[in-house]
Amino acid sequence: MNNQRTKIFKLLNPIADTGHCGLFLVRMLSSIRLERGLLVSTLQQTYLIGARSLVIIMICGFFVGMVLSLQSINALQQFGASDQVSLLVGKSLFRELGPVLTALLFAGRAGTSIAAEIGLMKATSQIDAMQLMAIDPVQRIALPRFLAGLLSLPLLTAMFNAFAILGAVMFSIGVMGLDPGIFWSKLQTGIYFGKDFMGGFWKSVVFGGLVSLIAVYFGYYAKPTGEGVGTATTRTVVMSSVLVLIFDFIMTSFLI
Amino acid sequence: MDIERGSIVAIMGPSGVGKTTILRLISGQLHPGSGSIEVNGKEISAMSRRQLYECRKDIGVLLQNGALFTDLTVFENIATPLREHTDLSEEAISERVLAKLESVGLLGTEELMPQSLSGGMARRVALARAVILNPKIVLFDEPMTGLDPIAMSTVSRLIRETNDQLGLTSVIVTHNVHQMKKLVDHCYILAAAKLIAEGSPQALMDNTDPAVDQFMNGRVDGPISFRYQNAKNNTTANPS
Repeated sequence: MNNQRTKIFKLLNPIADTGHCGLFLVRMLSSIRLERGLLVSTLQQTYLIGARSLVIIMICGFFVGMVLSLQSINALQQFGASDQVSLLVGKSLFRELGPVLTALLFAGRAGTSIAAEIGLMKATSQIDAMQLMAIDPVQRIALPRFLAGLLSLPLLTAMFNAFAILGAVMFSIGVMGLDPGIFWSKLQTGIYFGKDFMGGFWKSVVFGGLVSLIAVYFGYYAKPTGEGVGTATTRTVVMSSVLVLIFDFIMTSFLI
Repeated sequence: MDIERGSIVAIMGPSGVGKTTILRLISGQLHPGSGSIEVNGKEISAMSRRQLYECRKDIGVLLQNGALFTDLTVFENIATPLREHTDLSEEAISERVLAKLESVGLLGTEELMPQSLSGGMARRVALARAVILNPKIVLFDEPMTGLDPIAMSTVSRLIRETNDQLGLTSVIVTHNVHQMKKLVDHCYILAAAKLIAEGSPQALMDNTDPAVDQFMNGRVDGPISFRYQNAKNNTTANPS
């Protein structure tokens, strides 16, 4: 009987975890104080997790743009519509691929490093030491990383999109010999600021908050052992990838 | 258990007896199941988080491995409590940090990262950080563990010096009988989750109680068993 009961409770664990994570978010947000220290540490973290992710984002964006235009030119040629390639590439990038792929890359590059860093601070009792010095670790450690993630992901998405368009330009104009005038005019007239660009922007804001919240949360509640830190980083990648895709569907159905 | 102001008190006992737990209770990281703990005359378990944090400004803690912040330099590590809890200018902070570093004999290491310090140096930096706010009480969790004999004596002398210079009350948790004999004013010995003896180190050395004698002289045979004992039933054999 007892065994059965624990099994049922285990099934309810995800719900409890979600609630716990929500409370953590509330605790983090309620510890926001408008002061210089928070600004400085947020900017520092933005450099560490945002700016340091730039290279991987740019490379990936460039190749995604190239492969997108390669695939679409191939398909569109069958209907004699290969001059529509910039429209197809642009729409799919701004609406979907830009925010989603950047969020997935960000989870792998920055999410893991946040979770591992905080987990290791816990394992070496630095979090304990901070509490004993009457410093709130949620405010000093978790909050700046969360805010930095929230700030970084939209900016990284913009870079990803820019480099993807660059890749598409180089491939379709440079390699396939498409007319530059048609390419750019289709892009300009076919992509709408409100629906396409801002839709993607809101997604990237939500994904940024989601990924960095998960990373900070799993890091903060990691077991203070080597294994615990490993589990925290793995769970960060898995959970944020899954949730980004789920949230993407939910948001798309509202934004479209 | 009463800890007198201005003294150095050791809480000793074999590993796993609950020494660190006592420190965690004093610093309010854990709440007692029963009984009460007063720090500076105030009950610690009844405090809200804000009150607790306010109270902790008067308590310095040196954790087992020093727990220095690995992403900050030695200088920034020691300056952290000052930056958080005081409005001192950058010059005043620098002055106080360097004076503290001087007092632990590590002037010149301020730009190093904690990873490049030896164990004894890291412990001394952590000591400087623990007393930078001039607390009333300092708690030491195994301050000697893992140090070489010279570093041990250095740390032990520093504990005595800072205690007397700043008028602190120091509580040291340890199982190192040898160092404690030289350092502390008063000892408590715990065994099997009970307080079995207290007194000055010399009085304890002369104590004839078999358990106290076994611990102080490090004998294998005696009432304190080194076998794993289940908390529920003390007889490990025949778990019927």
